Amino acid sequence: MAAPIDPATRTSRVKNRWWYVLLLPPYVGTLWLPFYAKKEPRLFGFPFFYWWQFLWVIFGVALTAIVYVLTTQSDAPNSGRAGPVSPGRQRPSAGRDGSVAADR
Amino acid sequence: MIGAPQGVDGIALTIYIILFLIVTVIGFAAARWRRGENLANLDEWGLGGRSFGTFVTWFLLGGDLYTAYTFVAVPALVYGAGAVGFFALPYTIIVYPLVFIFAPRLWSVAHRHGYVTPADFVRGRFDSKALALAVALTGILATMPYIALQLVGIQVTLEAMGIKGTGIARDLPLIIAFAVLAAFTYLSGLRAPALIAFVKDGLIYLVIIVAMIYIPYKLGGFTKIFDAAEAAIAKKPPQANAALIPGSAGYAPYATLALGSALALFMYPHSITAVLATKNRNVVRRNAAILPAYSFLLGLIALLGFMALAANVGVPKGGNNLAVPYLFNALFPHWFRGIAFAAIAIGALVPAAIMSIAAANLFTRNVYVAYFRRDARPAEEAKVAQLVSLLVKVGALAFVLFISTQYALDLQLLGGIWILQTFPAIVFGLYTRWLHRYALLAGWAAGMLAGTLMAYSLVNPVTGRHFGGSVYHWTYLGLDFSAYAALIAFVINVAVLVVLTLAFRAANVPAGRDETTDDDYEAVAVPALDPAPVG
Repeated sequence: MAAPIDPATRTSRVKNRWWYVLLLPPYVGTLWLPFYAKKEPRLFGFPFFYWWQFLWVIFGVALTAIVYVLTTQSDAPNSGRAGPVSPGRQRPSAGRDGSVAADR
Repeated sequence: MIGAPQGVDGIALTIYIILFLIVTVIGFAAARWRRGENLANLDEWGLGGRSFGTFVTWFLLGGDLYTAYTFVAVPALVYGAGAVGFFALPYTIIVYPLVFIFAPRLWSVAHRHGYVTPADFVRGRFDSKALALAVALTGILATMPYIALQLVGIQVTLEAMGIKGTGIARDLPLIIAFAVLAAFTYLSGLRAPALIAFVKDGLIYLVIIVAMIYIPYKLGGFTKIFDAAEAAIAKKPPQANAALIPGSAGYAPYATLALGSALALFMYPHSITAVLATKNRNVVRRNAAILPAYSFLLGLIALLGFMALAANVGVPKGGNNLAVPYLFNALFPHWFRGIAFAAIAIGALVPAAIMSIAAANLFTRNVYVAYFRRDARPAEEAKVAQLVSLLVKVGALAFVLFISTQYALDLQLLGGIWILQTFPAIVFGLYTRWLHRYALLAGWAAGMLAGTLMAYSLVNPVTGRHFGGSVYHWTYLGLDFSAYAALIAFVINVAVLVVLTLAFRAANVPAGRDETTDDDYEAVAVPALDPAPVG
C-alpha cells in the first residue's frame, strides 16, 4: 500500500473519523425491538412501535447532517493542498464547471 | 367488494393517459438536456456525463430508490401481515449512514479510474476477471426481479381502473407502457429518468399529502385507523402471521429484514449508477445526509396498508398488491384517482429505466467488452448498452410471469438475497486488500447457493409455488432462529471468505495486482482519466 502523500492530510482525517460514531445510534434505536415493540404510550393515536420509528427518521437525518458538517469543514483545506504532487489532488476548481466530458 | 372497480373508470383513465403522455415527451426531450459534446459513449448515455449536482441527484436517487416497492409492495405487506411490513422504515433509515461512509470512497476511486460499474472496480482492485464477471452477472440477475416489481406496480394501477380481460388484451396496456419506456431509455439514457424524476416526485408528494390529510379525516383519525386495523388483523387466518405489534418471535425477522435490505440496497447496480453519475464526492455525502427525508414519506405510505384495513377494502384472494389502489378507489373522486394511479405508474417507470440502464452498463463493460470485444470503441460500447437495456426489460417480464407475486415485495427480497453476496467484494474491497480474490469468489458462490436454496425452500402458502417468501427458519448447527435469508447467506459468504483467504495466503496463491492506491479512495473533483481498459 502506498504511503499517504501528505502526512497532515492523513492525521486530520483520522482525527475526524471519530465523529462517525455518531452514525451508530440509529442502528441500535431501530434494530433493538425488545425496547420498542409495544403499543403504549400512544402519540396522536400512533402506537409506540410506529411513532418511535418515525422519530428515528428525524434523529437519523440530524445525526448524519451533523457528521457531514463536522467532517467536511476540516476536509476542505486538505483537498487543495497536494495539487502539484499528484494529478489526482487538484483543487476542486479544476473541475468546477461540472462537466467531465468537457475536461477530456 | 369495497374499492373494486365497476367497469372501466373513464375519467381516471383519461387523466392517467394524459400524464403518461407528458412524461413520454419529457423522456424523449431529455436527450437534449445538459448534453455533453459526444453522446456516443457510455459515460454520457449510462452516467449522464457524470455531471449531476446535489439537487438533481436528490431527485434521481429519490426516483431510483423509492419505487413501486414503496408505493405498492410495502403497504401491501402491511395490509396482509401488519407490523412486519413496516421493516421498510428502519431499513431506509439505517441505509444512509452506511452510504455516507462507503459511497464517497467508491465515487472517488471510480472517478479516478473511469469505472462505470461496481464490477469495473472489483476487477481493478482484485485483478480478477472472474470475480468481476460474478459481480456483474449477480447485478443483472438481481435487477430482474426488481424491475419485475415495477411491472407489478403498473399492473395493479391498470387493474384498479377496471382494465382487465384475458390473455394478450390484459397485458397489452402494460406492454405499451414498457415499450414507451424502452424507447426513451434507448434514446436518452440516464438523462430521461433524471428529468422525469422531477415530475414523479411532484406527483407523489401531492398524492401523499392529500392522502395523509383526507383519508384519516374520512376514517375518523389515526386512533380509529390503528384500532380498526388491529381488529381486522385479529380476524386474519393464523398462517398470515399478522400482528399490529411484533411478538418476540418476530423480532429477528424484522431486524434482519431491515439490516439485510439496508446492506443490499447500495449494491444494486442502479443505486451505484446514480452515485457514480454525480459530479463530486461531496454531492454523494450531502445526499446521504438529506435523503432519509424520503423515509418519512415511505413510513406514511406504509400506513396506507392499515388505512386499507380500516376502510375495509376487499381485495381478491392473493391480491394484497391491490390494497392501496382499492383504497384510493374507495375514498378518492375519479379525477384524483387518475392522478394517484399515474403517480404510482410513473414512480415505477423511473426506477425501471435506471435499473435497465445499470444492468446494460454491467453487461457491456464486464461481459461484452471483457470477454468478446476487448477493443470495442466507446461508440460501440454505448450502442451495445442501448440494445441490452431493451433485453433486460424482456427478462423482467419473465419474472412477473413465472414467480409467485402474492406479495410483490418478495420479488425485491429475492433480488436482495443475491445482490448482498457482492457486498464483500465491493464494500470490504473499498477498505482492504487483505481478502484474497479467489476466496471472495468462493464466498460469493457459497452465499449465492445457500441463499437460492433457502429462497427455493420457502413455499407460498396461497399459491404453493417456490420462491414464495424470504424469512428462513434456520435449524442447523444447533441454532434455531428465523431471519432474512439474505443475511444468513451473507454470514456463510463471509465465513467462507475469511477461512479461504487465510488458506490461500498461507499457500502463497498469487493475489493479483491492485491498480488502485490508498490515495484514490479520497480523491475529490478530479478530471477523470479515460475509461479504464477492461480485460
